[in-house]
Amino acid sequence: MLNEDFFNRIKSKLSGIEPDFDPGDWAAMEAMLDRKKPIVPLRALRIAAGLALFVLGYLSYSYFSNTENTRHALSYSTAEKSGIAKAAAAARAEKDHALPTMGKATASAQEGEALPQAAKSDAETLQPAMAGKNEAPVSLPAESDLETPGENAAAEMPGPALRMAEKKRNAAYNGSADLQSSLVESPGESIRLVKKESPVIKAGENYVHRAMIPFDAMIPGTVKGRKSWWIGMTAVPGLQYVQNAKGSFARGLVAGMEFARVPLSFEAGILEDRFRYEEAPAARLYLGENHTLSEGTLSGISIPLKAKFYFRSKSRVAPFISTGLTAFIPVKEQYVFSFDMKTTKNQAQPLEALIVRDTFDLPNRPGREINASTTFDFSSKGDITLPDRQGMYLLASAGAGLNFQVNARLGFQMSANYSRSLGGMGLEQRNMKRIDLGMAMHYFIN
Amino acid sequence: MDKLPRVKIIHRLMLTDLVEGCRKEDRNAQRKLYEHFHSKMLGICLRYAACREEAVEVLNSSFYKVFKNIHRFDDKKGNVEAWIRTIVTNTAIDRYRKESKRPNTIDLDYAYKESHGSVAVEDLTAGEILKLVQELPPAYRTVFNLFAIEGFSHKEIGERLGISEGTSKSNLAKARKKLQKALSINYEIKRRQHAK
Repeated sequence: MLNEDFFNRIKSKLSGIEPDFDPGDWAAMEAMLDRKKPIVPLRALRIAAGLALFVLGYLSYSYFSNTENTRHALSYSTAEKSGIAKAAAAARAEKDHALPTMGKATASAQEGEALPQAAKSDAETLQPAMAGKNEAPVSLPAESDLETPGENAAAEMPGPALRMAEKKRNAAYNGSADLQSSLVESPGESIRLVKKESPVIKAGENYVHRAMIPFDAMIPGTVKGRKSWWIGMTAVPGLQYVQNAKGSFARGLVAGMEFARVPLSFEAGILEDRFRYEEAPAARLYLGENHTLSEGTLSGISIPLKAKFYFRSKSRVAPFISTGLTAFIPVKEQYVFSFDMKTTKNQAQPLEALIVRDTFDLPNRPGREINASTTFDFSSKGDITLPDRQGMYLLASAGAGLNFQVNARLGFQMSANYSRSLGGMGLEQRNMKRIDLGMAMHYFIN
Repeated sequence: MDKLPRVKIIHRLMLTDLVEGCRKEDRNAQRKLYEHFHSKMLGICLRYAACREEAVEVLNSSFYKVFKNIHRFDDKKGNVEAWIRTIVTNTAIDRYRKESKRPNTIDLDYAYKESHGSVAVEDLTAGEILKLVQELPPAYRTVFNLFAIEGFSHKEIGERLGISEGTSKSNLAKARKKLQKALSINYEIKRRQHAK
């Protein structure tokens, strides 16, 4: 039998098959239509889980691998990159000659040893370049002209004789390395001073005014019509005021679940937080140096967990109490120093101004600390439904909480704090089939 | 202008109304459209599936897509029956592709014994032939349907199923061979029953 003929015969037989309509088939179809298809496919959830594992792995790695020794090594490498080591090495090369003449050497051997060996060779290469400038007469500042750099930093600064020696050397060519070399001598301490002042970590001790505007894009869904869930992205630009107003930004993923029969909801998320802060200008290290800017940027991962209990969830005004735990894991902190330095090369020349700006990666922060805080908020949210599926809400809340901090270096710390939210309002585009959008304005004081 | 028969005009008007109703997610219109094409489309699904339950699953998945995407259908560009038919065929193919990724446990049930004799397609009912087609392994059955019934070329089948042209030809040859043997055995059994 030829293939074509065989196929044609089969085709003609099969084309006549038209089974009778079975109402059961439509019932199954109708059930399928009524069932809400999951909007977030399993693959997306797997990718999200993979990303979460990756972030967790990275944080675990950085936490366990960042030991004391590596931190010091890091700070020196940072110093070398920024050219500080060169100046410090130059100062160190001068130290041997300077100390006996000044007669007040208090610099310890440790300070000398702390300098990387590589810096010596840098110093040697610097010598010829500076030789010419050394010939010029230098006006040395009197020791009384040196100001104490600050309470915390003072203990860590090199002795006055060494500073004099450094100043002599630095004044010879540009003077800009003056502060820098002292940073190399005690790389962590000046920075620790900054760290202790960080308003972000020690919120309980400062009044932090914060205004935030969260933008949310959420995908809602239901599970068997009894529970509702949402997952989405959030971006929260904000403005916080401690001593100066500075911007902050957080972005990340949020997921939550709400029960229909029990007025309870849970929300969890993972956000990348970035805060900027500015501390009060530090005391001048030396006469003629005007500190103009100290600005820090702290970025880390926030993991908020929140539970809400509604007292009247069905009504338009829905008071609720919320509590939660937020872990903040610092990942990177950068600090920028800018200062003017005014110095004289010799008495015959006019005053010379130099603006120095340098950026440091703070060495003690990454992966070594976890700051967690709990808060209880008593809030009331009033919903106002607008036409065309839009919604609006007003929020007022007051809260009290407990901040505690687990810190690898500073140990366990606990402090009570309170926060009050002066109010908030938001606008939501609700009941859209695939996505809910929302924005709000919150303001609170810690 | 061609004059269409009155019945066809009514039929078309009715379908246009149903499609419009489906666009508005009118459940009554959806049910009527489903009922209207149920038999024809289930006939197609039965050829691709191994049993009626599986065929109904394919049919309902197809109609789910129809109802969710009806706003994309343009009345001016084609008729609704051809559009639904395409969706049904594609859904059946998609299902085959998903199934084919799973571990294959076929062929033991299809190890027909070799036999000789002419195949008497005409002597078997449509239902009996359909049953034999359904008993083919999914890979053979799908290629057989696409080539012999739908009229696709091996190149097109290869593209749709994600297989090579050679595999398509090979699967068709095996499908034909198995089908001929099955028809032959079936025919022989039937003949003996009649002889008794």
